[in-house]
Amino acid sequence: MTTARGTGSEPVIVGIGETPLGRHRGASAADLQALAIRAAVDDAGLRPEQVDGLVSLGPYTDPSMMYAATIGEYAGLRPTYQCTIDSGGLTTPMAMVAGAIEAIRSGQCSVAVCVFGDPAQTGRKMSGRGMTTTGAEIEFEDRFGLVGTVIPYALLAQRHGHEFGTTAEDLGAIAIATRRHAARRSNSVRRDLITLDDYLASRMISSPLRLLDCSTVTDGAGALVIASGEIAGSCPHPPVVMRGTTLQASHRNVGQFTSFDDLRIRPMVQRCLQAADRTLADVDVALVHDAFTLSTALFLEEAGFCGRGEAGDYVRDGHIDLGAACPVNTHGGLLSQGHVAGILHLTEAVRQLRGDAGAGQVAGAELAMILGGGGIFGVSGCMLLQRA
Amino acid sequence: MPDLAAGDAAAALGSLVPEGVGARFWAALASQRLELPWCVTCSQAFFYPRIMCPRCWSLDLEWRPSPGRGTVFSSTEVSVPFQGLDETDLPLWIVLVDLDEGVRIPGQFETHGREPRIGTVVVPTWSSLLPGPLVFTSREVQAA
Repeated sequence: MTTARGTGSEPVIVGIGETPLGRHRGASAADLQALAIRAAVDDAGLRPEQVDGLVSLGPYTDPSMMYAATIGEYAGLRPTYQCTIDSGGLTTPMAMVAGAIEAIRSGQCSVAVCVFGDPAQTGRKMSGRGMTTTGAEIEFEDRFGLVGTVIPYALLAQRHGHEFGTTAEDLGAIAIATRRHAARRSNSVRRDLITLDDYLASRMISSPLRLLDCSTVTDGAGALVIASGEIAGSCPHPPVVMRGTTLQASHRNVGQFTSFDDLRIRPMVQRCLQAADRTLADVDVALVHDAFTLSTALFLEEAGFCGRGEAGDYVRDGHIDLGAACPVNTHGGLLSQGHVAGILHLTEAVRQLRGDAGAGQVAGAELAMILGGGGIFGVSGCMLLQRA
Repeated sequence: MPDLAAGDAAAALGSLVPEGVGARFWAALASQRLELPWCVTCSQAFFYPRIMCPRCWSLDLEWRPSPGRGTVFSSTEVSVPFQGLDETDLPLWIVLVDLDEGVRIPGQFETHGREPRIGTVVVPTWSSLLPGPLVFTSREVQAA
């Protein structure tokens, strides 16, 4: 297929790739990222030698410098644009795509691959649980016992409940609905349906967060290919255009969290919608950061999909399910599909906009919102993608 | 805002030698005292210790003792031995405390049968067997 799709010269997303998720003992981050790149470039109908841009993030399990150079070398690339980006959590793949688009616009490259992947389940270099696998001590947190990722999120979940009335049943509703999405999809780690009883019976990790509030740690990788409008004309899939990207940062560690207001998520989302000249009601599908159930609740509320403290009711009323005005995390999210740092939120958005999401397809999806952050809500971002 | 040309960066760096910006804080805790960094220019405490004030970027800082009295901003009861925690210390309450000086500081909490609900008034306890360098307890328990 070589149909020109009328995207003009605007860079567009033309390829997506994912590795199978799950345990891949022996696989390195480079192995996983290379496979995702390979799949995405193949999906774009392009050849390896056409890739002249590369944006990557090194593995959380083995922090390393110059990771884009490492993966470029591994894949035998000769990029004219390359960088390693770590703006935080789900904002990282957003920044990758936005950066690649700018690089193509300014003529630094014409086909850029954005990739992240990590053997987060089998490849950890250090003991410990959750996603905190790095070695550097956070002096004014770790020594007090404020370690890992669950404890900081638990502190804010407790606070969120205190301020807005969020209950265990509310958080459980998110876990249950997200699992329903994952159950429909082939590349999800957890596909067994769960009930509220299952949720309430799952063991307490760090109150109020239970095991089923936590995302699924998995090995895996994802990649996207961005190409100039000229090249995109010969790519096989409908192109996807980026209509807006915004970010707001406030802190790195939970000890420096000030207030939910000061996260400034609402104005950040509004800036993104304004850039695209759209409103929240125009969004057909949302891919929302869900490292913990609290994340989904907080981002939906702060963005204005529902009021503060109302996420539980919103979810119980079916508003994030297929068939609703704006289904959320149709791929099963970090909670159930698996935690690959959010890059699979972007590949899912593209799949939805292409109409290729199979049993999880949102009928007629034209505008997708990617919403979420990194750290302990210390950085958040919004991206709007649209079918061209 | 202060005049950012004022203040001597070399002197500020020199004051760190050799243990770093947090040395005074940890040494005080080891001696069962809580001390906080204050900005002389904007007359406010801050946490964690830094080489400059995070509000006005002044280098004119000093250490002041704190009674450690505050209220619980949030709390969590940890049931899993995350890296750095010992199984024998579980379950362990971790708290974020809003000190009366207007800064938020992490700590552990010794319950004496009383959970650290949000808003609980707390003070440091220096006789705790909990592993952390700063352990709070309910002021009512401490006074009893």
